[in-house]
Amino acid sequence: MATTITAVDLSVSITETYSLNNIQYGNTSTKSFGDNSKVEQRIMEIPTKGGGEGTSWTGILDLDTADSAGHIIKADFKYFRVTNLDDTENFNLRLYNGVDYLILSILPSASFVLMDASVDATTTDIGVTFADITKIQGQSDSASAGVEIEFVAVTV
Amino acid sequence: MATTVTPTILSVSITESYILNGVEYGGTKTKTYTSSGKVLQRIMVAKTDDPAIINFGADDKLGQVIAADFQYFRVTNLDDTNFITLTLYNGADSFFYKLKAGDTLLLMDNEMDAIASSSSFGAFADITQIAADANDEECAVEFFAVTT
Repeated sequence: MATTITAVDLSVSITETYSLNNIQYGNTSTKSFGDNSKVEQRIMEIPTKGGGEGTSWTGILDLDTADSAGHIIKADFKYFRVTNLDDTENFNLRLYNGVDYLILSILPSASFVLMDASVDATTTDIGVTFADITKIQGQSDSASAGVEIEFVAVTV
Repeated sequence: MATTVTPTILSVSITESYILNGVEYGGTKTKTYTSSGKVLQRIMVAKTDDPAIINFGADDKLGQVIAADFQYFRVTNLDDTNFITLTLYNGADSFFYKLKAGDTLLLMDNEMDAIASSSSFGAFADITQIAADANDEECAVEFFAVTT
């Protein structure tokens, strides 16, 4: 038995179009990720934050040691992008690396991209200890309205 | 005296091209910013002593843009080998991200919170500084910041 999947390259381009005072600014940044054979892409609903940012986080994707429901292999990570599909409400994104949390505000129609899973966070001025993200979670910033998001995750 | 600069529209598109097993995944996501009237775009060297590359504060001045006017920020590691430890600092918390050779990080909002060893949410605060620490040898970085 052998897989019939042929690993292919993922190409990601970020293009900024901006002309100010008759001068073009911005650029196109392209990164190619070679030999990928797995993908998860999904549009899902993320409920409200309920009582506040400290509660009601919804799991979006776990990075683990084996593929299973909602889990991808952390060591095979190549690329992740999440987009807030709501036109009004902000989406709070939480990254967890087994020790530390980072929470970012994602505006309506805005995206956040990860090209590497190594992160660290601190509230004090100490050295950096990178660890791979293990959980990606989210919540609507609204106490009453959920949001829909789209994410795509590509692994080797 | 009045400015002669007319704020315009910034459009940012993220396009993924990925066809696996005959199925096309990814897509193009575009966000448009209006009334964008100021810009800072630069290619510079990040050394191994963790230099700040941009500050966000109350006024436009040397190496600083107005935090309250933030719209978009993108930084790209232009080195072909070495990674950069990128630090996002919001005045209280630091978030570190490994920006490998050729990688890009973009920010479409400047609010963040980082918590070490706790799941308790603190508070969102605007990023006040972004620093880039070259891991091994100095690396060229390009960044692009747009404000209203």
